[in-house]
Amino acid sequence: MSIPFPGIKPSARSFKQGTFPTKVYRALSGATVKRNFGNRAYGFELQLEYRNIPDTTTSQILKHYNDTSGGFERFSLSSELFAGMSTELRGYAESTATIRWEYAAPPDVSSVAPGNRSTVQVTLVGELL
Amino acid sequence: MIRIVNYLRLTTANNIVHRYQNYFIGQSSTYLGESYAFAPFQAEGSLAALNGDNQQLVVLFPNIEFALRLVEEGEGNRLSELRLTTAFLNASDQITTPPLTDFYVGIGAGFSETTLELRFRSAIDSVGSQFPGRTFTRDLVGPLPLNSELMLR
Repeated sequence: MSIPFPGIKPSARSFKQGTFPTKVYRALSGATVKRNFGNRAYGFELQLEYRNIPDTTTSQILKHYNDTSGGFERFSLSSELFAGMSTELRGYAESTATIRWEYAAPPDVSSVAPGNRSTVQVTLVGELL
Repeated sequence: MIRIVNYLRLTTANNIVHRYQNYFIGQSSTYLGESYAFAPFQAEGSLAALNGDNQQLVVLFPNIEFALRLVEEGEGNRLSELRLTTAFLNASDQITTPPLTDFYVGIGAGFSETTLELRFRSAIDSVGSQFPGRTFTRDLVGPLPLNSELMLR
């Protein structure tokens, strides 16, 4: 069962559009021919940063990581993660019809201040269903 | 830019025809009036040979349930027949040039933890130059072959 990523607005966000499955043949002359093996993009990347968040919020993220077996189970993203984006742009970023997300790496937690404050960095990749 | 699609039409031992294509992700595609579902496979090896000298082809699937079923229904992929068509598409996803079609017979399968390999050998499609120009009969070659290993009697 897909467990959605916690709906927590990030402090910073970086998104990279997916690529199409392509190989390039380059002749000795330098001329190239591209070959395309699929009609949809894959390998989207979304980096989220949560600055100075309390331990309860950090725990939500870590719990989600464990509940999805650390990248084994894919999941969808809630709209809060794309707060501030226009609906049109969010459509490209979410690509909900064609991809599901998984962890590219375990969440990175840095303790930044006394009083249970941490900065958490999460990197997700979107792969084809 | 060349867009390439493989249409795989596999007839297993129980005479069930399985049709898959590997370009239109999550969609079906129609070729010669038949619908081909999407499957993430790739074909490696010779796709054509002039003299029918048992070219080998490997079709690689992820090791998942439906691919296992293909192997089991083909008795370990030893009794399967494969028709593999390679087509080139334009930007509108229409087939542009006449597709290439070849025929194969199953010779087995291999497994790893992530992949499942269906192995095929070319079905007889032509005869070598040394072969006399005669008609195949059981009297001449015994049981009619599925590949190009012929023995004159």
